[in-house]
Amino acid sequence: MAEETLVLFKNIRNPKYDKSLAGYKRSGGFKSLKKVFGMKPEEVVQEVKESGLRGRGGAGFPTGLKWSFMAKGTGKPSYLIANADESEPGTCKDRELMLKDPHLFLEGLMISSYAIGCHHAYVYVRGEFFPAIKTLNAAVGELYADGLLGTNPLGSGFKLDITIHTGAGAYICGEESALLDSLEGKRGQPRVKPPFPAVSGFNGCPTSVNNVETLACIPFILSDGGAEAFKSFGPQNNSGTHLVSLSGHVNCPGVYELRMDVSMKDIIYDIGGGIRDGKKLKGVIPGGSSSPVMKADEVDVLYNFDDLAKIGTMLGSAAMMVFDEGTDIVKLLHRITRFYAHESCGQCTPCREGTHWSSQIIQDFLRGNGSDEKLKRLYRVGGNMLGTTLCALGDAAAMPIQSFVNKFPEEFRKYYATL
Amino acid sequence: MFSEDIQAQVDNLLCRYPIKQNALIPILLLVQKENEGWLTEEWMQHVADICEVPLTHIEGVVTFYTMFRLKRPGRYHLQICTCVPCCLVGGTELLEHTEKKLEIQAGHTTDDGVFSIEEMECIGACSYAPAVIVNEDYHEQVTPEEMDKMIKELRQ
Repeated sequence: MAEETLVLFKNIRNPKYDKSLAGYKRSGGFKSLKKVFGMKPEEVVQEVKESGLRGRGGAGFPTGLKWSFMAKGTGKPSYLIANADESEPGTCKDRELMLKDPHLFLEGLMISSYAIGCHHAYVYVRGEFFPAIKTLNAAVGELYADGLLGTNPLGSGFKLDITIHTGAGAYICGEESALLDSLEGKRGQPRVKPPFPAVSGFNGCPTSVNNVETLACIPFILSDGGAEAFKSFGPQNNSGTHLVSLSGHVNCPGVYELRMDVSMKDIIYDIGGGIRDGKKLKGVIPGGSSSPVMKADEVDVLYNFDDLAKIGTMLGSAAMMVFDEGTDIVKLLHRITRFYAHESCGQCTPCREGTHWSSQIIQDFLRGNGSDEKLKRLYRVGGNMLGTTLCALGDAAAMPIQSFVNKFPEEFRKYYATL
Repeated sequence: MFSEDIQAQVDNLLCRYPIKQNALIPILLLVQKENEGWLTEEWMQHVADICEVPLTHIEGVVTFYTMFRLKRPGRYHLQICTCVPCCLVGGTELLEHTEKKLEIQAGHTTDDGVFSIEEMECIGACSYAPAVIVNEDYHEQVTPEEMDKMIKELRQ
């Protein structure tokens, strides 16, 4: 029987937990920060490298390695930006952390700032997250009042400010270089890379952008024996626990903290309580709407970065959207393509045009005007976006199209073939 | 042009960033909230002056992000999510139900100015779908009946 492993949700799962600063301290909070102030910044980076932590925002890039790319000796300030622009369809895990245990995430942000020599960290929260913005602002206020933020926290000689910054509604701002443009007060359009943010990020200064959940892992990793323990939770190269956002046609949707050696089958049937109304599983979109879709007979696989990559899909932001046998695949793909058409920033032609074309072609099927030729064209339009754009939005729009057509071709034919 | 309270909040935002332009989006959101949920050219020009950018820059920003509005929304702005997880469990039907109930399409405001509807892309409440934001408050696992009840209560 699969069950949760509580590291990030240790406090949240405690019904008596008080999320105020005093409550967080009572639960053992800020011990790691205190310990870290006695270490050299590069030792902190090394511990994070050893823990094997990979970014939880979708790309799965090793966090410690990302930090080690930060340009040094430039004479410019370094910045750490927490990416709280959670907007990949299916994903609602960072919201849980910010709303229900804000100080865990903020302690992670503070330790990480120390590690990369950042003296002013920003939390870029999507603008629609009004309750999370209020909670974070209140929590940051408590930290200043307590002396944990500002000059010389815990007698460390370090100085750190944190500002909660609100976005204004744009999926693309979850992409780190678009986020930086947005934070600078511009339209959020992805930048040409290189230079990468570690060299030229916020206002042209060395910057690291890290996901909220990634940062929330840091206090545990820096606790005594934490890095080793973190590594021991999952298969090699898939360290730690991760937060899984489970949604769609399951009996118990929710956000669950799991090791990375739990199978998708167990997540759907044990954790999620199976398919609702006694129906059969038809498929799963495994890692946010941009990940290639899986059929029901593929779910006997471990839910982690590497095992999903082996079968041609991806863990992404660990957002599982489960759908039952009654689901209309063409309508579902149409909704996904509408999303990307709405969210394309318009900068690169293949994505700006391709996202709209694909949506219109599927609309044709829904109106009874499908054909073999149009199905091929849909697949081709998807292919033309793959790897041809500045950021990953083009790929994100292409992968569902191609995988839906590959795995469920009969569903499209149903709309035009005379049987 | 600003009230004393808003001026204090704007000043506070300006000192949190290395350059004034960085504070542009939070300031615009603050101004929009104060102006009953929408922005006029007069306000945009004022923010342009504060942040030391041309008005055209502000217009570029305002038309890029979905949360900025150039026309007045209803007193209660119903933001109904129909993105992937919400559409799997009734979000689309909830939107259609609400449109029928209020006799307006998404993107419009009722004649009495009380309600407006907006169809949303993912609002990040996927495990609690279908989800709706009313002004700044999240409502989760909303049924058509609950929507009717909410509309009735808000109207009073």
